[in-house]
Parts: sequence; C-alpha cells; structure tokens
Amino acid sequence: MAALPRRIIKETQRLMQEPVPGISAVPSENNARYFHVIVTGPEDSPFEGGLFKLELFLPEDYPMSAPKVRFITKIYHPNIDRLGRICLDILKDKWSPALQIRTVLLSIQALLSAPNPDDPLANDVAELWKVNESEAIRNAKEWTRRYAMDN
Amino acid sequence: MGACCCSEEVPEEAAYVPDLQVRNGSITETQTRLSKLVDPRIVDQLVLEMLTVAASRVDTDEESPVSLVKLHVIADKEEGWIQMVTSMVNVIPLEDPFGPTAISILLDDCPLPSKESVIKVTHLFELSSERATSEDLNVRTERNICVILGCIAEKLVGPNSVAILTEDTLQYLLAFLTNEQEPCIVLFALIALEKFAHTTENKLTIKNRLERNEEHPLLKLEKHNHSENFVWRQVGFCANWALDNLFTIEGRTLSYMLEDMSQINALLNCHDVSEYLQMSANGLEARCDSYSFESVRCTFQVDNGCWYYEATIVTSGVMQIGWATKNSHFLNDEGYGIGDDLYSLSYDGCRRLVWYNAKPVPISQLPAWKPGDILGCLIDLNRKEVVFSLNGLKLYPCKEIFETTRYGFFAAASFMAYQQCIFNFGLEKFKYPPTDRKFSSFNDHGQLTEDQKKVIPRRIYLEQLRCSSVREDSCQLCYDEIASCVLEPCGHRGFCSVCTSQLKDCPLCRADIISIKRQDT
Repeated sequence: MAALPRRIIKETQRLMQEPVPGISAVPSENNARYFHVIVTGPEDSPFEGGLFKLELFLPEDYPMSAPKVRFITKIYHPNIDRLGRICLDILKDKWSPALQIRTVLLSIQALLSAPNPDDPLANDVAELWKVNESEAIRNAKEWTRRYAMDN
Repeated sequence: MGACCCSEEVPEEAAYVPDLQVRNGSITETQTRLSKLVDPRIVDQLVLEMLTVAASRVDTDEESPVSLVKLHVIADKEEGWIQMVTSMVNVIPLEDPFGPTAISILLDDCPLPSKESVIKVTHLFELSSERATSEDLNVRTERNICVILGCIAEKLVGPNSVAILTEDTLQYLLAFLTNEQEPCIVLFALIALEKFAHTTENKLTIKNRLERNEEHPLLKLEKHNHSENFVWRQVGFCANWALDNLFTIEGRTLSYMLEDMSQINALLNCHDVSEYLQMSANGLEARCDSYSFESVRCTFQVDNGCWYYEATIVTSGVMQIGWATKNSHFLNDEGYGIGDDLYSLSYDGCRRLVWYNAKPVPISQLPAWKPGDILGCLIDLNRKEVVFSLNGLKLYPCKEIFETTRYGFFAAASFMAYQQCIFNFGLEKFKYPPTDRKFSSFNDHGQLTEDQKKVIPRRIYLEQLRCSSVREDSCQLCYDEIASCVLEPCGHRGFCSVCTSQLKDCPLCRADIISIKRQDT
C-alpha cells in the first residue's frame, strides 16, 4: 500500500486508547484508511436508543482533505439523505487539517442532537420538520426504532 | 463545531420520482404507493437492462441510468428489495462478465436491507447444506446467490453480519468448498465467506468450522493456484490468499516465506498498491474482490529505452492495464485508476477502450479479451510511443502521455471487482515479443533487496505499523516530519514545511497565511 502516514496511525492509536463516549470507530483489519463507525443516538433526541452504523474513509490526501463519511443505517434526518450522505460544513469547505476523525464524529453526533431543517439535504424530511415538527420527530423515532434498534 | 452547509451540492433525492409506466405492463404507481405491487417481470426486465447499461457505462460522474434509479425506488421498500434480489438470482446470466459486478453495483447503491429481510431471502431460497449438495442444482442460481450473500456481508459488517450468517447459510456456503463442485460456485462461495469474515466473530466461526474438517477445504482448493483452468485458478488464488490473510492455520508457513524469489527481479510493489488489491506471494498475480477500483504499480522504474511486459488475462471483466508514473493517484473509492489522469495510460480489453486522462478512446480492430489472452504493453521512450497488443495483434501507437511525462514510468494496472491477471515482467519467455524493435525486460535489469521481495500479508504489515511510535516534536498535521514552521501573522506553530506549503489558511484559527517563519528550536 502507499505508505500509511503516521498521522493516521497516531489517530487510530488514540481512538483505541481513549474512545469517544457514545462512538466506536474501528479500522478495518485490511484497510487502515477505512473505519467501521457506530454512533449512539444522543439522549433527548429522536434518535435516542438507536445504534447508527457509518462508514468513514480517509482519502489519499488526508488530512489535507476531509474524511468521507456516510450513514449506513437508515435515518430520518433533514441533513442526511436517503443514501446516508451528510450535510456538514466541516466535511466540505470548512474542513481544516487540524480537525480529526474524533472531532468529525463528535460533530455528527451533535448534528443528531440538533437537526437543521433550514439547510436541508433531504428536502421532504426538512419540509416536514419545518411545517410539522412533532410529526417529523415521530417519524424519526419510528425510523430509529425500525432501523437502528434491531441489533 | 460543524454546521450544515450544502443545499447546492448534492442532487435532491426527491427529484428522482421515477415513472414506472412500462409499455406492455400496466403499472402506473408513483413512489408513494409502490410496495409489493411491482410486477416481477418488470423487475426482471430492469435488472437485465441494468446489466447492459453497466457494461457500457464508462463515466463514473455521469448520472445514474434510469433503470438503476427505478430499481433504487423499488428496493427502497423491504418487499421491493427482496423482489430485486430474487430477480438478480434468477435472471443474471452466468456467461456475462459484468454479472457479478452488476450485482455489486445494485446492492451497493441501494439502501441497506434490515437483517430481517436478508434472513427472509435466505429462507425464501431455503439455503442449507442439502440445497448445496443436491444433484440437480442450477449453477447460475447458486452462483448468483453466493455473489449476493458476499455483497450483503460486505455492506453489513458488524453485528448484522453475524446475525445473517445463520447456521443454514453457513452450511450452504461451506458445502460448496470442494473439488467436486462447479468452480464458479466454489469461487463465489469462498468470496462470500471472506466477506462475512470481515466481522471478527464470523471469522472465528468460519475458521473453526473449516478446521473441523478432516482435511482443511482451503488447503485442498489452494492447490488450484497454478491451474490452467482459469476459474479453478481463481479459486486457488482466493483460497491461498484467505489462508495467508484470514483463516490462518497454526503451524502453516505463510506463502511468502516458501516462495522461491531468487530469479525474480521485478514484481508488483506491495507498498505501492491500493488497500483492497490482493497479491500472490510471488508478487506477479493480482486480484480484486472489492467493490472499488484497485490499483498497483510495478517495482521497476523506466526512464529511457524501450521496455515490454505481458499480462495474462484470467478474468474477462474490466481491468485497465498499462503504464503510470508516481504522479498517478490511486483513488480506488472514487473509481479512478490507471488511465484516469494525465500521467497514466491503459488498455481496457473488456470494454475495448484505451484510457488516458479519464477519457476513453474506443478500439474497434480488436475483439474483447477473454481468459487466457495475452495483453502486450510496450513503451518506447526513444520514439515516444506506447503500443498495446492483444495476442500479438498491435494497436496504433499512443503518444499523448509524453506531452506531460518523459520518464519515471511504471507498469501498472487497475482492477474492478472479481478481476484477476498474471504479470510477466520477463521472468518467463514472452508469448508475443515485439519484432519491430529492440526492447528490454524489467526482470533482466531490476534489482531488489531481500526485503523488497517479500510480499508480506497486509495484516502483518499494518500490525507492525500500529506498534510504531511517534516523536513528540513532530508536525501536528502529518506526524511524519519535524515541526519547524510558524505561521504569520497568527503565530500558530507545530507544522512542518511540507504541510505548510499546502496550506492557504491556518488550520487552527483559519487566519490567512501571509508568510512562514522557521521555528526557533
């Protein structure tokens, strides 16, 4: 493989030694740039009680460019689309090489606590979130129960 | 830290409400009411369409084909997903080189199924060892089931993968691992097991079950490693790789330690390869089983003169084989490989295209390649020409690459899922050596140290890396170099000159960088 940057080794070691509460990120055995991630739905959010699986991939020029992250578990959220793509500024133009895998995952966890329907990726979800928040939250809870709780 | 930003970048999923009107069908459902109502014949038809489209699709950025989008909508509902899987099992033909790839594409792009739907499918097909050992099994059906199980296992890594590897499914797959079975089923059953083994718990289960046999099935299958039958050869390759990397047996010597490398002076570089490419222990054969575009370069660098190598095609699917420089990036996840940038050039004998700068040029004078064919790759730095040939039939010379690059070329190749080929860098006699000019071979001129000749299994290499430590005064961005720079005017420090040169603003405070000072030590 192309030589693995020490940065990735260092971050991996730290993720293993001091895991982030509510988040597990384990590198694939055969690919040090690919992480299997599980994020616990934050308390007091419609995602509470759910375990959400994500994939995180460090591109060749990481940390100069952002990790690629995607939800694999279905989730009802205005900033996450049907294919699990996430709308998060630090994964796009607000990326900085000083950010890390752990900071990215914390931001994603924060996005679950605070959905932002004014800047949507999943338009139908965002629409409902704006016009009828309680129904949207009900849907989010239902999806969490259906797709994120059966492990 | 992160706020939401991107209303403009990603296409709206909601815009794809497909029109399911089909000429002779009667279905006019819209997305909302679509559930168990889709006519199975229509799903079959869409899957077959998808197969043709996948074969002709060359641009990874282009919009998803209509049939693919329609299938996505159908598969969005649990019942629809099961229907789509059933269709794939029934209609994807054995002989189509895109079959397994098309299955991967479809399953990869569709929303993931719940473990219940997967288990439903396994019940639907009554997977069991009885089914696998029945006299009148349909090779196509079983092959497709194995491909699908593998893809699902790959996507559902973790507790779900453990849940779907039920006793019956496990027995079904294991029962195929014999010399008496059709090799294409054996191959995909083995690949499915490898993919289930991405989850550690499954790996241990499978490993134990394999070892419970009187003779380890993979030790038997591994012997096909050099078979003249190219399907069995793939089985042998995968079995051998699995024994070295996944289902290791205590006391078995790893293949790379046994390999006689004394005559080999050029091989595929196991430190210059994308993550999921699998290599033989002698470094001259490579295979990809992952749904990504995996690439590798040779160890030998060409700077002048005329050079030639050959690749024996083991599988007839998409591979891009040719020449690259160190400037070519392996963007395996995005589908970019050799021939997809300004610094590499390749031939794809499946779709019959020459690739340069991610632009394909169709080739009509040669037939599509098939297993056993020999691709010849010649580079002539005096005449500034690259000449590809298939079984000795030459293509016109390609010259564009010399506009960007004059030296520093490496033999290189990219592989789609389930593809494999064997490289001859001059260790063996060439089958179709060029006759119109003098050329050299890497093996006659290469020099490698003993360490460079070791194709160490990746897990061992990664293990070694993870144990290595990092110096305290190293750059806070790459940790590879010593921190030596101060950013002005913000004054943040702790970065090396290599990283600093790639920065526009400060990674810590985002202030513009006006100048860079050396850090006093």
